[in-house]
Amino acid sequence: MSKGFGRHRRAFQCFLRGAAFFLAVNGLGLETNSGVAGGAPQPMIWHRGELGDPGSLDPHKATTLIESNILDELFEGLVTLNARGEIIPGAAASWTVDPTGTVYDFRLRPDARWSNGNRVTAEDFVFAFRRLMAPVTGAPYANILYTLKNAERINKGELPLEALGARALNETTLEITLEHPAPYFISQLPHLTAKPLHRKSIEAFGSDFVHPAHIVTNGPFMLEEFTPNDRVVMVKNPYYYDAAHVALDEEVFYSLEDRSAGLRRFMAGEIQSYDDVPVEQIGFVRSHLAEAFKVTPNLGSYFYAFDTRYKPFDDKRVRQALAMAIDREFLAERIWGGTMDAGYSFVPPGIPSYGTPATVAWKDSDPFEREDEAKKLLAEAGFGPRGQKLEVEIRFNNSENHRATAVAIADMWKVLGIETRLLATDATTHYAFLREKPPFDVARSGWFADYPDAQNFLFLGQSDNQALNAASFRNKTYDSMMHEAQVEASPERRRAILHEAEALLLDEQPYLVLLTYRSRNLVSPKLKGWEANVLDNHPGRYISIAP
Amino acid sequence: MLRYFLSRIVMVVPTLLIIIALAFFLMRLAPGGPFDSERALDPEIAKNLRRIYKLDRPLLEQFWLYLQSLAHGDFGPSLHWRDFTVNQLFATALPISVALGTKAMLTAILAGTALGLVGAMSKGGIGPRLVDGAAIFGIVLPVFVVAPLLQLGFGLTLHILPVGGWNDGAWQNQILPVITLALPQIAIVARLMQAALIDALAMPHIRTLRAFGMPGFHITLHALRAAFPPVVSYLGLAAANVLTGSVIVETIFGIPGMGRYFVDGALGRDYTLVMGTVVVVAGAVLLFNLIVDLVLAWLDPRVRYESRS
Repeated sequence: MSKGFGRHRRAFQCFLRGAAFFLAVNGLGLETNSGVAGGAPQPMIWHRGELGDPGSLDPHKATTLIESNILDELFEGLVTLNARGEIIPGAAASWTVDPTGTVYDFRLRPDARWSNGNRVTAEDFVFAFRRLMAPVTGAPYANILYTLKNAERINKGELPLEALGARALNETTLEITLEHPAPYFISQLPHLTAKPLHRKSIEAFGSDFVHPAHIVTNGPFMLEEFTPNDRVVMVKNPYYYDAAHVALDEEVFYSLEDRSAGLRRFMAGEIQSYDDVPVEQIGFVRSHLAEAFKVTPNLGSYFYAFDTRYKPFDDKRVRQALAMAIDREFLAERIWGGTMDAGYSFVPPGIPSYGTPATVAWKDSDPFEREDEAKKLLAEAGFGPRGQKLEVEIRFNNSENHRATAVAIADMWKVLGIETRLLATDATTHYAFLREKPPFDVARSGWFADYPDAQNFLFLGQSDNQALNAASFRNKTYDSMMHEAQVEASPERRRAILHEAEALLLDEQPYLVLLTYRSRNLVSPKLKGWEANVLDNHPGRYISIAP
Repeated sequence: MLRYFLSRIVMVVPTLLIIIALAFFLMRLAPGGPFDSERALDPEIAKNLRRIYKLDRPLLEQFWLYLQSLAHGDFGPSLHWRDFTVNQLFATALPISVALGTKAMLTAILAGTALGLVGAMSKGGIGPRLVDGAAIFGIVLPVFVVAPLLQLGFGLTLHILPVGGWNDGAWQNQILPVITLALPQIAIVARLMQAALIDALAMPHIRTLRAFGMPGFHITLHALRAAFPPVVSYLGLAAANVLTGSVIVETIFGIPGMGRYFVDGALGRDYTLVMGTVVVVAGAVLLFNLIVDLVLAWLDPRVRYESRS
């Protein structure tokens, strides 16, 4: 007995010694990693977790938010955004507009440089805009800059590249001619489609110019490594004109597609920020990470599209009734854990040039009155106790939150005597369905601003917007208002027209607005210079890390 | 033995071709395409993109083009990771998955065999039941529960290992993923080994060895040789599976391996990437089946003999 015990004890001691050794080695390893042990000054690195993985770092092939966040660090357009998401001069120091509002002259900074020391010239912008529009490039978002003269026709192969409304007057002066006056043109320019490109490296390496060994950038950072599904490593660009004020030595984007794992890595200090949280753990996050959790309004709308082509949703009364019956505060607070706002407007609040958006007329009316009104509207349309039974199918892309939202809405509609079926598909199937547009009842959709302008939301209701008008909404008055706004040079009159258009859209309800997005970031208190903003854009240029 | 090997290898090519053809056409049956996302593209632009990637050609022509480039060892450009070819993606991801998978399989073989041995040798006692219990626990506990628990325990509570990330393959970053990958395999190997060993120990030739008074160690070795075939059969398929990556383990630990390409590729309709993963996995399964056949033939002469007759 005692012998046996002794043997066990030795084994246990041996295990303990092994464990102690293991801990010591690991402790050292971690210490070196976090840079406590070194003698030389440690580089300042922002370890930044992002939901999703960049598919391309070519500004003309990129489409997603994470790609845009990375490209903003690597390339700087004529204008750029500060930490608050406001537009400030970028590669251009200043610009003028002619009285017609269609010709812009940009004067580039004399000290704007590429990461290889070359000057950033007007020709670099002309080259980039032409490449964006060249059909052979296949740029998915070329249409955002169809504001440039002849851009659309060039992109469709009807005109040569040289016809584009962008030319270099001299090395530092760029003249851009627009198709029509567009007061929102400057706000389009921070977009990834408007970045300059280094002509020589593209001519030398073709589409391989994006590889870290070849890429030449003009933003605050240079690309050092891009490993898909892992990380993008960027280092400070010494040639950047404002390099003296860039505190970070490195910025590393980690692709973290599992929100819970992302949360754990944030808590372990492996990343200093993460741009999402698992909604199902929102209670934990709020109670344990209150200081780090930043929930702020974002320029995004969450809505359902009605198929307005077919019965019964070609009837405005049915659409209105269904919209009125929904308790949006319940969805925002209970389903989304307060990470969304109740949505009563189509354009989310927070666009400076637009001011307070229009809202549905019944926004502040009593819920019971709304319910009675909804029942009345349905009865008028021939549904309800004395009419037909209304059956609705909600299609959505599969995710827990979308499902929970649809279940809650089905329950809210039950009060109106509506029977609701849910149909979930994977995201690609869902979006392909919306593109092909076979008949449907109700489908989930959403929209995030490409650039902060009301037109960038309201164009979803234009009948000529084939790709994005998910509701197939056709309304001549609305179309003519939108076209009027498009060519209106006066910002005040344009704003008034757009407000009127939004009011019409909300009255017609082709889109059932449910919620507006809020960005949900985890930000370590050590991260200085991070400011919440509606674009959820956080340039590394302004970030520093406290020890 | 050589003829046995050649006859097996001849079967590989047509099998692979059938798999490729099935995968190619099944993939195209899925609704949507590589350019469908939340922000729908302008129809003209989408059409132009399909032309650039030759997706506007007739399906049979696309299949023929794919086979041609495959014959040159070229998997084509990825449609999602537009800056990379599928070959480039695999060149980084495959070694990572193989490195993790190999470590996990070796752990599973060693620990599983040891556990199975302990279970089988402790006659009629609590041993086999303990091994059975532990094994069932290992099998039923899903990876997506084990991985977060390990992260919470070793990363957030004890602070001795990183929660996630690959960090250029630093050994600290490999420990938890390897354990997660190995656990279910250990359980299965232990159970298989225990059952096979109990049978083997009751075989006539082992009884004869005992009767001759051979030392226990020798008897165990002989029993192990007899017990290995079912375990080896299982290990072949398991290795093909584990070495080509696990999407759950890779996503939770943030590892840039092969596993995520299966799911990302399929969900994003990245046709070339999906085809590439299918070819790699099918190749791995066929290769490991071949290895298993050879090892079985070596372990058990009857296999060789039967296949010849």
